[in-house]
Amino acid sequence: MKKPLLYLGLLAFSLASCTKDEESDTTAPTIGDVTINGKTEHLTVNTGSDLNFEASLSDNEELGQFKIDIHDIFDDHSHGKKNANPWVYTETTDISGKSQDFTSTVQVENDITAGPYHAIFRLIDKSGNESDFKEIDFLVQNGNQAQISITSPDFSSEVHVDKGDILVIKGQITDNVDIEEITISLGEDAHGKNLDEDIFDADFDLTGSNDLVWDFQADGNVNINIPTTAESGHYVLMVRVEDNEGNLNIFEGEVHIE
Amino acid sequence: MKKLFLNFSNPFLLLFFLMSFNGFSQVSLKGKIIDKESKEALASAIIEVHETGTFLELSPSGDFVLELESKSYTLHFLANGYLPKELHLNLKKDTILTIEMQPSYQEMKEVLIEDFHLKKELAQSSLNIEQIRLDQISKAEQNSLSESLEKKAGLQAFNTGVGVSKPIIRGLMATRVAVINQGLKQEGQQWGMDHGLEIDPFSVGRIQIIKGAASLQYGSSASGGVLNIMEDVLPVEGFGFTLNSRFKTNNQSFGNSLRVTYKRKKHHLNARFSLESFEDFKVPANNFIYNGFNLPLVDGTLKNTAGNSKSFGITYGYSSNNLNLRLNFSNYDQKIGLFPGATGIPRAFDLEDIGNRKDVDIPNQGVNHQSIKLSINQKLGKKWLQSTFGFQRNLRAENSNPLAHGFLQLREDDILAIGLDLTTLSHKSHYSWGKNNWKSSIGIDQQYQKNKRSGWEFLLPNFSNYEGGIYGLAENKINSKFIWNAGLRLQYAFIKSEEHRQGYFANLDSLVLRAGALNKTFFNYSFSTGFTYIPNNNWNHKLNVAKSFRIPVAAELLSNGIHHGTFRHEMGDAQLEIENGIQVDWGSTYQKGRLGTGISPFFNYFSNYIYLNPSGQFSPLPDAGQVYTYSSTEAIHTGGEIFLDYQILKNLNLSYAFEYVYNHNLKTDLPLPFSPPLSQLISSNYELLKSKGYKWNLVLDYRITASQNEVDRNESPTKGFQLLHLKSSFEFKIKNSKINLGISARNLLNTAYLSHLSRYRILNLPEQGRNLIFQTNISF
Repeated sequence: MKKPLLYLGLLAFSLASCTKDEESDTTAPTIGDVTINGKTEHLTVNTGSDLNFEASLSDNEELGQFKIDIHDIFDDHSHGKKNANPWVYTETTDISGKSQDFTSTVQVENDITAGPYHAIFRLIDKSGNESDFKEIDFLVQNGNQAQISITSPDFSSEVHVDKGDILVIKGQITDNVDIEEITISLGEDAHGKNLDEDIFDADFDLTGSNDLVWDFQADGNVNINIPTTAESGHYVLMVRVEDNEGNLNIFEGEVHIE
Repeated sequence: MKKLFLNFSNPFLLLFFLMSFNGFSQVSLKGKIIDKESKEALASAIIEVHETGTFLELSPSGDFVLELESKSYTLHFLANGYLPKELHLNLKKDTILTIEMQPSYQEMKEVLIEDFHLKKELAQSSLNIEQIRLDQISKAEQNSLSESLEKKAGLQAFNTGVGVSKPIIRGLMATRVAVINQGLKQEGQQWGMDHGLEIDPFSVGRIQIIKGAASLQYGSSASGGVLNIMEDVLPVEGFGFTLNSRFKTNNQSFGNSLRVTYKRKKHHLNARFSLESFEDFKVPANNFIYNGFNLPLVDGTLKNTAGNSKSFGITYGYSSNNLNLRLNFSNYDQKIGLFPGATGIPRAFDLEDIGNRKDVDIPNQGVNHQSIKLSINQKLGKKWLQSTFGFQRNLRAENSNPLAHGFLQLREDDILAIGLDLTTLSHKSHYSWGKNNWKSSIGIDQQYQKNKRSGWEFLLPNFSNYEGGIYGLAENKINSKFIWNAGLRLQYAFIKSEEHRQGYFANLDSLVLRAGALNKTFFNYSFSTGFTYIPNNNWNHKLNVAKSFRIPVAAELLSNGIHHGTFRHEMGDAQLEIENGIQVDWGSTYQKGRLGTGISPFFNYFSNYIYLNPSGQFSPLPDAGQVYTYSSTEAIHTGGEIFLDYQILKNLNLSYAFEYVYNHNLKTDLPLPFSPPLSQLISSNYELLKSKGYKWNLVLDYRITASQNEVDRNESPTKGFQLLHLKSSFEFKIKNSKINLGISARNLLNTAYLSHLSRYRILNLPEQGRNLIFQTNISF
């Protein structure tokens, strides 16, 4: 009673393995180097200017589609503000072949809120295999965001400090409308993708309705203690300002702790 | 003989006379069930009265009271760890009995099951059916009902964090597993991968599991199997109270459930109220890697995975010799947070701040499920007519930040992304009878549903659908060794949906057609035939062959949008036809003395198997990846389970269970997604103490799950892992109350592991770490 059933099972099993006409492609395509205006980071653009995308794409069999998504990374700031108008953009392109050097250009819309944005790049091949995605962050300025001017130290090149030092920041932040919030931090990576805590973190909520000028020393007393226990290495001083129209500006300065 | 003169001029006397005149007088049957060897009360036993179809539980001191007409009865006595007992009784007057039950490790061999009211012995069914009673400790220990059943070979659970879990039978789930909750098929958008069971786990006592094709008896969504949550047995006479309390350390989960019962002769009331709340859960890791990024898990905590649930149910029942009636109302509410990275790209900025561990922030899901059910079981001569009428309302909400999904025109507090409002009306009538060696039944099973959508994201349109089937089953006991059965079911269905247009984010005035109007009918049939061969007391062989069907649900035909449940843009195909299957189930068991073993292989071939397939086209929606379309393919699905049970000593038991599923998509030449990995469970139960009403036992479970490398496109393989669980429960009596204390350690070794069958697998998030569970259960 049991034997025929066993044979039936085995037969079906072997039939299943026999229906292989071709190998099924499960290899994901890859996005090689991607740049916007030739850069992968530290990119600042003005509204109305162009973003030139370049990406090298490849697959083991046949490429399918490439998608670019742009949206803000204001991270809970700016929304709800009057006139806030973050930019959302998406483009999808059909591609073919085993490799392609992709290029595309899009004009940054006028009248959008200034601040940090990112572009996400996605690739799928003809069979539907998905690549890892890549992202590039960039800063958009529209002329109405706050101006951050640090007079000391000189951030035109990397600033060196020793453990135990006090890093004194001098300068001013100015705007044509009321400044609402200023965040200053000194940490290993300005974009928050790592795990370590910041050496310095300060949040200033400006309660007045017409704060057009803010001084790093007089208003913020920004004197950063570099702990003697700090790890040596490359850090970023980030100053982030939001005004009452929702426009954001970010300054990043390189600091090296000896 | 005295003659009683009745004065009929008194209307009350007349009424009383008429009411009580039914040809038989009422007598009471009282008694006690005890352990034959220790002579101690056996309060965990249940009694079945065959002729009235009633099941009855005992008081904590092992007593029972039954009001019956003075007739002949066959009584069955069942208790875990004891040989079942049968008693034939001709009840003429008030009777008091003491029933002694023999302890045995030959468990459940002759347990009676309700295989669709063809009351039969488990051994005689040709389908792979298991009936279990979840004891107090087991049912409250796990995070959900589906996870409680994972200990059974062939059953798995698909979970979304903690608290949301779907049952899986041999790798099949969602619309291929029917969950019947006390006679009513649970309808809660079960096609959704992140839609759990809206059933209070505390309320589940007896559950029947059918592995394999059950479309014949239970309709379209049972091609994988059925979880049949059975009605509570009749409570004790008078008042009865049970209080369950449970605390879990991993996520500070605190749950309580109170059950109140009242029985007076033929009437009874059964009410239960349960409350539970828990915080974000903890995993044994401080970071996870996704898309090449190393992202933080602050304090080993998965942000925003807290939740709470509330459940209330009340049943009124009436049972007499010829009529059993139950009217039930229940309401279930649950709200659960979704890990923030699960509905977009996880952002370190977001994850670095754990926020409030207790609150349920967005993104989250909420569900409310209400049901009203009436079941009437009527005896007409020697035959039973059983009908169930049900009403269910299922409200689901997926909430998230509109601004994070490109809906910039909305206010930030407008968080309803997808709202689904599903109303279901059900009716089932079943007529069964027996004659000589034949048992037969016929029935009708129908359901009407209406869905209304809301929210700023689109997934499913408004639709209504109807499904109705008629079926007939027959079973013939040729001799004591050979029983065969056969059945046929015809099914008709229609679906009607409204067109839906939605503004495209880049140009809100342009309305894009997301789903066209649909008007479609389906017609199909199912047949099943099987036999059981019992050559002697040791062996039992079953074989069942069925042609099953599954009618595609609205989501498979009409969806078009991003679903939280899978983090994908899902698109239906209105052209999809019925999924047909040829299913073969075989089972052989051997039981002798201390050893019990069995094997249950299965083989399924599906034509038109419907699943989500990557389309190779990106979604036009912002930040969405490629579109996955519901497609049909040919698939083979096979595998089986092996179990071994050995009673080493009278109080020490060792068991082993093995499960394996192999499937193959014949069109893509790849495995199907979410295939359960090969898994083994070694379990040992040690009874340290069992005397004078005290019971103390220790259970050890060692789960060995193999790696799963059989994956579909864009699915990641998952490494194997081993888990150790330990449990101890202590039971004692104080006067008339029974108290049960339990301590469990789930994932005792705090092993970090990924589960292939998890919503969060796509983010490489590990599962729950060590969890210590403390319980008290009091019945009085």
